[in-house]
Amino acid sequence: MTTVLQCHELGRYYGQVVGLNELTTELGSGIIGLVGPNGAGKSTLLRLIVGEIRPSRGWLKVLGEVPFGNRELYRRLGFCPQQDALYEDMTGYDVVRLLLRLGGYSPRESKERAERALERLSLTGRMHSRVSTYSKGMRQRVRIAQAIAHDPQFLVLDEPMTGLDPLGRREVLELLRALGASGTHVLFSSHILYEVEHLTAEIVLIHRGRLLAKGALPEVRALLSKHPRRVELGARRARDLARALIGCEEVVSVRVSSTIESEDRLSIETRAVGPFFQRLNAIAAAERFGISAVRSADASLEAVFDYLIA
Amino acid sequence: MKELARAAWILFQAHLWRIFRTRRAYIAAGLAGLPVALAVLVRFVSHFEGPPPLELLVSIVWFFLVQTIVPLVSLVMASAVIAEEIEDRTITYLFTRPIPRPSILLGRWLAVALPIAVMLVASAELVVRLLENTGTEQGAKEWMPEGMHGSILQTVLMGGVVYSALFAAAGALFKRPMLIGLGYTFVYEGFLGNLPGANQKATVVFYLRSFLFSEHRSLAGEAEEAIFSIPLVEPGAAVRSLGLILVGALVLGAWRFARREYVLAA
Repeated sequence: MTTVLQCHELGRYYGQVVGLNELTTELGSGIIGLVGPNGAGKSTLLRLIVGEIRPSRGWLKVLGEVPFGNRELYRRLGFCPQQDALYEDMTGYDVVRLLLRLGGYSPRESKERAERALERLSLTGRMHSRVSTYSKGMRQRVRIAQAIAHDPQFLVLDEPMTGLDPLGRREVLELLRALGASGTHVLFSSHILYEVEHLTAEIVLIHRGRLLAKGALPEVRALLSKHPRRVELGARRARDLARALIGCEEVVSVRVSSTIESEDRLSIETRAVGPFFQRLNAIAAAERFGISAVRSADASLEAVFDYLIA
Repeated sequence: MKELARAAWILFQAHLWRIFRTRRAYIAAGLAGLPVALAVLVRFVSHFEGPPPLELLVSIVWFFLVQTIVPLVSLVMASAVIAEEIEDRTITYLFTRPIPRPSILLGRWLAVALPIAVMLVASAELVVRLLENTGTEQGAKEWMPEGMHGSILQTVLMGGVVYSALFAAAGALFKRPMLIGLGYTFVYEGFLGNLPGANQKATVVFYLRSFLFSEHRSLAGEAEEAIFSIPLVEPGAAVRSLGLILVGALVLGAWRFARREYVLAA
């Protein structure tokens, strides 16, 4: 597997504020989601990766190169920044074309590539309108278009779904998936975990400037073995079921919540999921509790995230 | 070097036409129009027998246009060369392109230097023409010493180009180039440049003064003491010194710009 990113004790401070702290990791190829709450250090890490800022301590290599001011690296790198900034008085096409020209492409090739990139982002119809007339979603599409127009080897996107409507989000997710499938390394940040989960199982979690976890989602999930896991049940006789479960050794806690429908919901915390489900089967077979739904509530990335920052 | 020139040229082309849509360009054009407005006022209010006194020309061209308007127009336009990209947070796109960073400063400076030069030269030309035709026709042709008209335009042109390079560099060196530039214009150039002593040689205005007046000392008239408090240098030496200041400012600005990191707000 290609190592796309290496960093060792990477730190970045803004005066007294810690942006990133002692980050030591390696990232491989494919699509990787960078996850963390606002202020976690995601954007700082991405800015370090694209060489917009320098590390305060430690070191970082992207595709084997130190990024700050590295022109050779920039030929292979595409970056979609988080900030909603574009040249307002230029058209979307002109912005992408200008940046391609600066990338070393001829006027003709820049034109072709700009048109192609904007077409991939479904902006062909409005590409000759001024950016100042664009909606938030269209501006985001231009930012993504300029990042992919030169077919970078490594694509870095900071909150790429910001401002996009549901259709736009789906289109961008499909685009990133296609780029990943074609061999482009993609690193993108998001605090909308649903999107990350739908695009990749490979995640990096950071919080307060520190690396919390890294790897495939199941691997990260395995880190949580010490945490109780939550199972949700829907049942007509939820309170009776709760009484039956509360004495079991696998169960840590049971909470009943009412719903407006004819059944209540049970939220159960367990330390051993397997034995718990065996026990549940046995209880359900012995007595009818009207169990209508069983769901592992913390299988989602959101739950993993909640646990890790708790 | 080839990549530097190529990227600077692309940025110059891309930003040149954008300049004319900015509020700064309107402010600069308004400032450049002030000496013209003054000349119009003189033309329609004053009544001279023969051409107007040369002191009037010196007052408007030297004290008002060259010493005040030229640095101010340059400041308004050129201090934004880098600051605008940072304030608008668009610098990220340029920093992540495979171009030498100094080309950003150079290309964008060229894109403001040209409009600055056009505005100031047009202003100076209009002032001279308006004053030339003030008063009676008689003697208008002999109004100025030979070559003076061209010297005025060249002085204004060089002043605009050199000051704009200084203020563009200030944008790369300091966080608030406009404030620094205002301080430089009025405190450093305005005060130091007119204070008797060799300290004048550390100012742009001294070399502009040398270029304009070293061969036309008589022009100063009653203002001679104020203008020539120390010996002037030859026009050729003045041009070389201005060239050195120009190159020095751009090199320093480019050097700093290539190394400095800009932390943009999210």
